[in-house]
Amino acid sequence: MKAKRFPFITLSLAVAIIALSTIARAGPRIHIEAVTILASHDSSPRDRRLSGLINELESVFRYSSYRQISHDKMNLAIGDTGVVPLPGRRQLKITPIRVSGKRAELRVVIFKRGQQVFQTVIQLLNGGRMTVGGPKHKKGYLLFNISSSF
Amino acid sequence: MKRSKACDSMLLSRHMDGELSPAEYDWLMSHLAACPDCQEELRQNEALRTLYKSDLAEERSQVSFQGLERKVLKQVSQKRLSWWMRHKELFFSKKLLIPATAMAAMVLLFFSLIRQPLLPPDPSAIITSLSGDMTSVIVLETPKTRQTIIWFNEAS
Repeated sequence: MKAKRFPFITLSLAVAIIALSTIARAGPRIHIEAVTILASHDSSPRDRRLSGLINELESVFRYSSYRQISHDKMNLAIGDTGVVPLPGRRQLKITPIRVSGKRAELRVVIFKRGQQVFQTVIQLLNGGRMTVGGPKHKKGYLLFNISSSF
Repeated sequence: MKRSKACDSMLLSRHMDGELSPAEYDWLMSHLAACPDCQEELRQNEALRTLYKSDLAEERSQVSFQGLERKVLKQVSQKRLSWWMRHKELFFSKKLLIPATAMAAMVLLFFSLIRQPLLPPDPSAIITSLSGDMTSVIVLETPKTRQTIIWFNEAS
């Protein structure tokens, strides 16, 4: 009876060890959100979805209108790259590099017509958000608000 | 039988209670000697008093004062508050609660006046590297939450 049980226990242990090592190697997953905003001097009404963010942006910028174009969410492992399509044949690529203390190191790259136009590496606070902006679009400017949590 | 105008029941009552002045007493004695109505009234009053006193004495003799004392002490001891209740009453009594509340309000006011403005949190993002096909770059920070903003102008 004991002899029959032994291979089963060994197999279970091996599966458990492999599963645990896989989880350990996978590391933390980082939840990233990217909100694309068009800032302009239009007289369009306030975008309610951006109410909290607009207050922050208005403390720095003097645009009269902030309109949300898209809101993308992704859950990335270290080394994975999330792609966000942007207006004007642009792309935003975000890659978590590592987690250090309360910050996640992210590579943020913007492509335009397949060409890399902007690249930065930032250490973003857990639960923090930052904005990259400047590309012209229609009668305004694009802002990309990126937040991360892990 | 008509009573004389000089008859005074109030004076008789006061006499029974021993409240008459010597002059009133002398007058009443001389009146009583000549007035059978007042004599009768006085006799009746004295009889009533005697009856009342004897009844009271009898009732009193039947009462167990020791038993009554025990009952009273028992009730008093039951009403004695526990340690917690006494402290609770002390701390929540108006005598203590009102000055304590006033003191707390003053302390709160004092610290709210002298409180230093809160230090801003860390910047939301630390920029490790930055490159690209750009004509200019500005790095900003929002004053309230120190949210990092990178503003760049595309080359073309």
